[in-house]
Amino acid sequence: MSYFNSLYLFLILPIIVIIYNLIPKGRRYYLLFVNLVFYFIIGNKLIIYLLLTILSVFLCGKLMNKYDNEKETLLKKENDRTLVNGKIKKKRKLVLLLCVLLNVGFLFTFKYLNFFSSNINLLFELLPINCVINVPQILAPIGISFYTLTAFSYIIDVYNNKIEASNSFVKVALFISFFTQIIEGPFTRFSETADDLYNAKKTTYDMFCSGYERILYGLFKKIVVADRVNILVELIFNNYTTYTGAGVLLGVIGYVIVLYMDFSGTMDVVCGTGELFGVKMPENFRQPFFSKNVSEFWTRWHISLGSWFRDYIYYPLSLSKPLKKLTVKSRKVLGNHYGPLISGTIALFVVWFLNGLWHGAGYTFLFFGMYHFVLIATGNFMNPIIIKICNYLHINRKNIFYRVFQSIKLTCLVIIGELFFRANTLKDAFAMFSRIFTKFNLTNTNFLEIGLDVYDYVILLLSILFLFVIGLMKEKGINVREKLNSKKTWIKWTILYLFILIIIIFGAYGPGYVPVDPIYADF
Amino acid sequence: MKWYIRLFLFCFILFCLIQVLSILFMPNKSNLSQFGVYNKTKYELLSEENDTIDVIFLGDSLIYSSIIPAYLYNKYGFTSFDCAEPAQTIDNTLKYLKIAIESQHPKVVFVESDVIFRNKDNKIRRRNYMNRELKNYFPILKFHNNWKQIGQGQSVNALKGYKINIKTKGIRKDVLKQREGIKNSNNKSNIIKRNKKVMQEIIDTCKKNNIKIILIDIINYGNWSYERNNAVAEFARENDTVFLDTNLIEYEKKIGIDWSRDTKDLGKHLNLNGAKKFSDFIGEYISEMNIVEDHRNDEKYSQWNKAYELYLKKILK
Repeated sequence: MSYFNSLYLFLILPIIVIIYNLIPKGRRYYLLFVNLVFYFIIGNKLIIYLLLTILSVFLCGKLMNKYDNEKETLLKKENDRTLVNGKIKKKRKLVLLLCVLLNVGFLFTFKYLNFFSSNINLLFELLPINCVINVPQILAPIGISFYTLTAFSYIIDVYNNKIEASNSFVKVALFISFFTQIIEGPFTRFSETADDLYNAKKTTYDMFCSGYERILYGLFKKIVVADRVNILVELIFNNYTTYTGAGVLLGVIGYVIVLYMDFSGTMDVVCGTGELFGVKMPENFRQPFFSKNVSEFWTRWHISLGSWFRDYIYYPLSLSKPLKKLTVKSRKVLGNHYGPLISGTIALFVVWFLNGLWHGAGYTFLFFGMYHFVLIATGNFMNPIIIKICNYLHINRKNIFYRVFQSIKLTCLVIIGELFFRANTLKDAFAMFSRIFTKFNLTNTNFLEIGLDVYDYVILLLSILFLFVIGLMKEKGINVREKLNSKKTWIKWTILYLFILIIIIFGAYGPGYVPVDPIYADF
Repeated sequence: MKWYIRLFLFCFILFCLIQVLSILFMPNKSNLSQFGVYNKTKYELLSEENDTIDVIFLGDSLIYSSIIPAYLYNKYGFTSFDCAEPAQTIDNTLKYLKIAIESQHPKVVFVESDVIFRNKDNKIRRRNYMNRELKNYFPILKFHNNWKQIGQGQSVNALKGYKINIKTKGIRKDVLKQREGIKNSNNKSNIIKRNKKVMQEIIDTCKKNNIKIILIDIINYGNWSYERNNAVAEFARENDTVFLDTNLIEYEKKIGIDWSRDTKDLGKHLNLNGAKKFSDFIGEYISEMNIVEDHRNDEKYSQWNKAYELYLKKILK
């Protein structure tokens, strides 16, 4: 199921919105019903796992609340506040642990069991031990990685007393199962969307227009750009040995474009849909290629995943007792900059290992995670040295040329990372990487024989230029949609008609095109 | 103005714009008044010049995934058209045939034999039904890519019903072994009585119009069995018709399909590589029948050369 299905976007979704607005009371129940029906259509019987996740976090949250409420009664019985607090904390921790274990169990079984069992079998074969673990291929509930982590954010926030556990099952269910975000995210926090979902405001004309404008923008990215470049990407990644290094490089650059346009386009559709129901979804992309370094890149690309790992893995690990002790010790030996970096790097390693694994059960994904870990860790260690070198060479680091240099360097590093991310196997990834340098041969590369004709290249260049300008405007704080909506109706409509017709005419759909499968829906 | 009136007005103007563009983007507009927009989108064959098609292939996705008319023309010189749609029912096969022979006088008609086993209402047909219908009502969605032909004279339908698919999703070796292990059987699958009757009408229509009809089962994985083969073969014998089952191992070897490379979806359909191989097979088969002419040097068929050039641009070499 893709959010870009025209029937879904222009018939089913408007019908859902119309009915939503016709209901005078209890819109939240209707929205929950829509969420569950949507999930049932795409996931069929596997909806049971989604329901179990919702139920488990809801009940565990309630239980934590109950323990908190018992505190006063216990304090009356036992005067030792520390003892009571300790007891309550222990109980709450146990509940959290059970909840996390149950849901990690689902996640592991559906996503990682096959990967680990095949690796154990490989190990048995190498040793050699005459034993084979047979694990049947299991169909994973769609969006399991997304909704499980979203559910964790709720229960961990309740545990950390950042939010109060909700007494409403409907509210928790709405938060975890919102149909527009369940397949590809973004990861939301209970404090961000739950109230909007629960309050279920009526859609106003402005909300409707603004939501659909955002959806159209996402559609443009996906259908005009991503699906067009995807022909080339499919061809090169599946037959890289028949192409020169220049061809392979084009394929890899193409993949970065596909990934960005597909995923950020999906997020536009998701956020636009959210607006139709009065829900402000968090942004998942913020012009990532304008970043200065890899560290910053990950605060602009798949932002909600990065912040999830930061808040629920990196910080708790960095602030854990053993790492705190290590920081104190290393600070004495290595000084104030490098000292804390040691424990930070350990936490960073765990984050990127899990980040790689979250993307998929495969070595290419683990390599992708480790690659970014090395880049960020190296950046952290090298930063003072680079500043010193720049100062020594009198290079102004805020200079436009230096900023452009940084962006190009970052883009190159991202491209290499995505090559490993997309390649069919690690072996293929290394072979493609080496081919770029050993068989580059630009003169022998006919770029018109890799699936795209001159017209396609022209459309691509113009589209990317258009998106770049919009990105630049956003970067400068200009709200393009607000500007558009403030125009006179006939100007606004002309622009919208033009945009729609451009998507219809220049979209890469129909015979000869290979639409991008929802990439992140697999994670 | 009330917001819902504004919204309605916006959609109405958009609808008009799309309809106007649809007309502008239709291939071979000269036939437009004769058949109307709706028919030409659904029945693409109607875009072709009258009396220019030698061979018509009727059937389901197996047809439009496996036979490349532009490629056949370039290599063998005869013209053909894939009159196919996903999970085509036998009623639609008959309907398409009747519509086709109003403007064309083909020498041969191939009918994919799977249609004889298909119920009127089936899952595959229901899938994407609305999307398909949307394209029929808004032809721009089907012919939008014709903007590339602006300024090059009359636009040409390059694919002639074929649907390119370059994806490869091959079959694992261990699964391939299972296929070789399929045992011959004397049992027959059941053909619905009604479907038999419609197929007989298809055969009669062809015979009445002096068209040779051949039932064909196009090579694929998973949807074939000896039981099905036996049933169609018996039906063909009873109706004095040729049945060409390209799923038999002898044909499989002749066609040279490599199931690890030539399929887009684990053997259900061929990809571009596979389609070229199958087109070669069918091209030779038709040429050997000696009932179609070579039009490659005929001025009347010059648009087919253009179609081939466009096809080459579309496919991924």
